[in-house]
Amino acid sequence: MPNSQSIQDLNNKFKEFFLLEGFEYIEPPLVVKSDIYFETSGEQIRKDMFSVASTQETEMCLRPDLTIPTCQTYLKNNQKFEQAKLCYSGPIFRSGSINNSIELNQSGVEIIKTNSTKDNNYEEEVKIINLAIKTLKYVKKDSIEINLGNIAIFIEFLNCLDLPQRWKDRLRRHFFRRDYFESLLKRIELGIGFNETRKEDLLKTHLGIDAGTSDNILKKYLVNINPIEFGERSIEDIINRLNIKSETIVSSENGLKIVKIIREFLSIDCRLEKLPDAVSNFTKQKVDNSFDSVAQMALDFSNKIRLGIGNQDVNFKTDFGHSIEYYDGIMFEIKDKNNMNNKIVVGGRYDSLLINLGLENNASAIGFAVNNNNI
Amino acid sequence: MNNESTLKIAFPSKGRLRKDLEDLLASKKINFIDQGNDRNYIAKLSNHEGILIYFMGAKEIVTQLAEGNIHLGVTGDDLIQEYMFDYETKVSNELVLNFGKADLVVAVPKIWLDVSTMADLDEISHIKRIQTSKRLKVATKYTNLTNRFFSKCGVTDYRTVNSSSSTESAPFNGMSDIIVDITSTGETLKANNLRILDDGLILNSSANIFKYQTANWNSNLEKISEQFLASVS
Repeated sequence: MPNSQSIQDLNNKFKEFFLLEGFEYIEPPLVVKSDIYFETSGEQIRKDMFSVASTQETEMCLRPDLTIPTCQTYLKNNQKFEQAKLCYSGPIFRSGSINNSIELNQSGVEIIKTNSTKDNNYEEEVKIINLAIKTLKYVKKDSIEINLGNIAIFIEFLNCLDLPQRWKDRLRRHFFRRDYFESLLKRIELGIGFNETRKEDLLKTHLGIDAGTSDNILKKYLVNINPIEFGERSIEDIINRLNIKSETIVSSENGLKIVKIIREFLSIDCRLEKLPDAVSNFTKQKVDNSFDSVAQMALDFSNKIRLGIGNQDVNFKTDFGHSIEYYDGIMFEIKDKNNMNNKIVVGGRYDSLLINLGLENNASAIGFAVNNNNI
Repeated sequence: MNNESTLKIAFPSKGRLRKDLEDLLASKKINFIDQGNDRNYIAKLSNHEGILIYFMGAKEIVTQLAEGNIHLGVTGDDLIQEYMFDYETKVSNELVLNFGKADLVVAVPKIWLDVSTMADLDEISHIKRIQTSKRLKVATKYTNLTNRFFSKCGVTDYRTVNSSSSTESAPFNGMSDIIVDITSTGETLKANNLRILDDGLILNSSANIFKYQTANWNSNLEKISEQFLASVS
């Protein structure tokens, strides 16, 4: 564990390096609003944060990361820009961290664009991984291994499954919450949705009416109920969702098959150069070429990343994910081969976070952070 | 804890919990002595040497247990789990009493026919946030238990709204969308057009005798405590 002086030196050293690379240094506040973290990662992140209610009834926390405060600070002062190359260096605060220290230090970069054309050349991904490698070389960390994931490939895989859309959305949304994701798989195995008999029973039990499956009878009944009893929801919302639930049925038998396929896909763990073969083997065992688009995407991804970053040790895992879950494309971590327990860099693409922070739909963002305490 | 020869026990000072506890003690032929009058907040127990009873509010008992100012306290699971940080390491449940039973549950407006489970709640809260940028509001006085349970169930697009009374009316006066509250029979919820979710049980609560684990226990106090617990069990 480096002492505080060497950590400070490291923070400064990385800052100087990023400035030389053309990045703009941002000094975000130490105390930030907690809401954005709960929105992106859910209440489960609360146990890792130092968050308290302020007198204005908003919750404030010691920043648990630097990506969000850095982007927020920059966006606050710069509403119109095409591209920003930002860097930061300093402490973040998390409970139960390394050696029970609550203060960790990170130095990193973020490249954000407001008018990004979405292409699949992975040029930015390659640039950011190469910059991370160069950053580590700058502090003489040459012996490294890169672990890679890409949630876009998982989303493409989900799109190919014979599952109701709302369940695909649910699996995507909870991909990072592994315990809950597992419980969702178990529920699919039991079968999902309910048939018309169940819908009729539901109406009889809860409303005491015999509406059969007729929306009109149900609607006539509901419009006579005091609107106050609906809260903020509308009759249409409720009927529509009730119908969607009863129309999208997956039997337990099919549920078991689907979950088997999901587990099989998420067990792919190989060198990046072997990814096309691994996905191809997976798709060959499935009927009617239903996963061909996934195989094509994996091939394209593997080729372009390898071409861009050269002869590096890179592993790919389909279930790879970080604990802070705002990433929505490539995700990567770099480990020190001399101490494989040490994650020295984490990074990835996080376009939708920027939209949450107030930018337009065509915004893009990618970055990484060095865990200085692990250097 | 300075006085090492006296076992300090906190009893609820009022309400249904106190009445039920008095009935239990009476059935075991244990009476309060040296209390002065009913409004006095300290008493002793007949046939139990070395015990001092302090009467206090159920929530105050949690605080005093957490501070280590009392050895044993009679209070509800719900209050211990909600208000005592790291309660597993501070107190142990020595005796489950057959009263003060209540469930902490998630309840939604009865008319939300499409919402039966926490997974439904996850979905409609997410849709609400996408469509309106607002999050589902949950009225409760149990924010810690609610956060833990919702997190376990994968529901994240919500905010808790602190509700100290009449929680069951919150969805219908615009204060919240749904509630998390204590219920004994479910009748009050039903009367207020609310329905408990199929998997919306957060906690089966009852009154218990909790022991402060890290107090300065000695063999004498342990013996007195064991005798007291045996006499009321």
